[in-house]
Amino acid sequence: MNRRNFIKKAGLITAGGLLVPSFLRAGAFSSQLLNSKKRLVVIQLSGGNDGLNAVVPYGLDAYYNNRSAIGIPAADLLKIDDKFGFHPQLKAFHDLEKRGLLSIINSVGYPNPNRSHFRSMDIWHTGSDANKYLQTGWIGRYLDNNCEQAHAGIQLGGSLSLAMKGNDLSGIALTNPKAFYDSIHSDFFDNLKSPASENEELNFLYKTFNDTKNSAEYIFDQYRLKANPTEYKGRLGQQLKQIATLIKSDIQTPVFYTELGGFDTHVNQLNSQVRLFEELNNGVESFIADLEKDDLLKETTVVVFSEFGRRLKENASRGTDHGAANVMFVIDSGLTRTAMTYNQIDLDDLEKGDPRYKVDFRSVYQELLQKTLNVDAKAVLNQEFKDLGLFG
Amino acid sequence: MKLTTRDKYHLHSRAEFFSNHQGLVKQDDLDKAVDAIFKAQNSTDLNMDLPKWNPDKNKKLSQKQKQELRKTWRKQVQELNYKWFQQMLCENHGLVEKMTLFWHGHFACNTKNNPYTTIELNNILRTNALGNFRDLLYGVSKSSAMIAYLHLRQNKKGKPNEDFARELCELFTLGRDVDYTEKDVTEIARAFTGWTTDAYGKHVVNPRQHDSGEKLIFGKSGNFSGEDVLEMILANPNCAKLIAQKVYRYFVAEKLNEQHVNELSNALFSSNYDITVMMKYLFKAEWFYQAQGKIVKSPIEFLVGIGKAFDLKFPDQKSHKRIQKYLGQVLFEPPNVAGWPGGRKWIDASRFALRLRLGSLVLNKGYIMDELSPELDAQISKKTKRKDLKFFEEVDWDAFWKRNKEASIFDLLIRNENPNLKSTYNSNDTKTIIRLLSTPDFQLT
Repeated sequence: MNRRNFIKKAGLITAGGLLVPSFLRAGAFSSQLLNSKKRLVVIQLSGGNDGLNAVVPYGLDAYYNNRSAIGIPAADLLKIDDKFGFHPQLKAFHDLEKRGLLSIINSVGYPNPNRSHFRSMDIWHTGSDANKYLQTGWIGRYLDNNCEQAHAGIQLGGSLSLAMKGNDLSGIALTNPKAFYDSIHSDFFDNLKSPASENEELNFLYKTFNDTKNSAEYIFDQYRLKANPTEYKGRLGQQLKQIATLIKSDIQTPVFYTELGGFDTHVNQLNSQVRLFEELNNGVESFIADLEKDDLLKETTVVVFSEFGRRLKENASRGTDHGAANVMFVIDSGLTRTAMTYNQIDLDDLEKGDPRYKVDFRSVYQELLQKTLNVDAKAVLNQEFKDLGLFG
Repeated sequence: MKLTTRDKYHLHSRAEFFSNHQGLVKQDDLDKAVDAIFKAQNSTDLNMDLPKWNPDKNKKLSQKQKQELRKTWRKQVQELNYKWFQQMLCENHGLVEKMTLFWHGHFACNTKNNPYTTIELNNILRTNALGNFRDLLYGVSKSSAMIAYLHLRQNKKGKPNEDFARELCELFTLGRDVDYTEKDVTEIARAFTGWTTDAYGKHVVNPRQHDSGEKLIFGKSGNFSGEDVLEMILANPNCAKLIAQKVYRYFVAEKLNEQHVNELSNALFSSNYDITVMMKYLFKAEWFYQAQGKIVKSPIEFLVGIGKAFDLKFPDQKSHKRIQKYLGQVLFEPPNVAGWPGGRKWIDASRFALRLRLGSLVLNKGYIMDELSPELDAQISKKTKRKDLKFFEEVDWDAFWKRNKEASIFDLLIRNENPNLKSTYNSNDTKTIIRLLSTPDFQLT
């Protein structure tokens, strides 16, 4: 039996065995069902996070020279080394870094950076070159190649990111597993029978309809297996809590996706950043602690990204304008010590006022695909990128 | 060929989003019916009261004033989105507006930040929607909207920017890697150097930025201008073929039929790019009537369709835009220059769930037949209480039944064959309407 057939069969077993509580199902998550070593949790910071005020290069004069109004004083920073320090709100990130669970990858970007939110986010979502347009996302292509059911990718939030859209299979976006279940399960829907038709579009719709019903039921069943009493703060926290609850249920979902918006800090950046980083920090702190409680961090990788960084030089409104290369975070229990070597930035090597990119963002995707999701990255990215060696 | 009532529903749905029974074309003869629909079409330019464009004044604005202005502009584009949508709902405007929408996806350009270029480009698309493709291509290529969007202003002698040249070949005319090479793209970019707009948005060629040297394009060398390139492309039948393919997918069926596409392509090319000739050919082809219910409605088709069926007002602009966003198609905000992928790509699990509930949300507060769960009810009422999410509308059912007194509700609303569904939901009452709107079948046109 080849792998795909095996997965199909296994998928049927899952669909038929929806009522079997997860603890009765054999094996841990790393069952071959999804062939994945770990789950990937993506946190998207929308609007263009100012990486230079998140991981502050306080050791470089150029930072304070360009940011006299919004530069964060060295004394307030949570020091990483003699050159970098975290924004004071990012305590959890500081702790994770000290424990070797966080990799800071700085100067991440791509050639010919685009400064439109819209376009740059597309590039990050699809993993395309800056002059190419792809209709599918990088996670979507992973789903296409490796998964059978829409619940293989779950996004907490209103609408599905392009990153999660494949040709044949896309993930599911939902705000609440119960409401999503109810929206598509009712006597009316349950009585709708797939017609025997030669109309391929109609058959596609009924297949998607049935798949959606099955996935909604599966997600909701998993979600209510066990209450999660852990307290999380903030909207991002609530979404991460739902993700943690699902992970604890041993759900067969290799990729989760969530988003925090508001990072487009053109005006009075200091205040808004305190608020944004507080929310990010609280969410991630509770999430990691919650997973560690059940020893599930070892089966999870968290990645944090934004569509671009911001200009080195502050603007006249105590804010910053759209930039290019930026910082990315990867949280994982299997990082190598060399992971920190990617926290580098050269504020003298500027391209149109922005630090030039040193690491292609797809290098990071490549490692996540290979090491976390355990698949052939080239089949997803269509190119090979420099190996960063983030994971041991 | 004689048209049946179902054929007429099909023709109207595809050509102008929807028609109630009362509005069906009277002629039963196919050719006459199609001619009658074309003849009845009116076209109204998109417009709104904007201050006269004043580049000198705009230049002098402070940073803060500029920010305010940008905010106002974005609001105005949202208003234009709403106005355009309302135009689509107008009787006897459907075909022109649907063609305009088609070209909006073909010459995709995001103008959400500028009401002036939004109006400019949208009216170029509408004026030529059923006119000549050559005029349309020239109009779009010279519009300030497209010149800005595809970076023609940055395309200068000695420093070419290939954005426009590439998309011109790949997306607007020939199709990816059809009859052109990377080298052609580079040389075509040179031919378009200097194309820009003056301070009032009028197209000009800046002689100092134009590279007037010899270029090698499509195997011919010469001192080609941008317009020369457009003519060389139009002389290639594969340009007509790309348009025919896209028209086929939009108006006939998701799956291309090579023979039928060639017929459309020939109609377009041999008429020297007369779009009306191609579209009449399409609607008069017998194969068009074999393709009922074979296209997944776009969100705009879905919304205009129910709007026309139930005479909906979509009274709240903000909610309206939000529905477009949730369903994945916001006017003036195509995802990129390739436009909306369309077809099955409109459907993913989450959007599908919303589309299945949308009819009942708009007409019946979310109820299809059963009680809502407290969670779903809470989520719906939380959403509908929000100022920017007002879905529900009171339908004038008496008027609806008057418009459709001779109709079978199933035939009116469902375009594909599904005998089982038809036998289950065959009565003419509002309950049946709500249920039919909540089926996978209703997603098709």
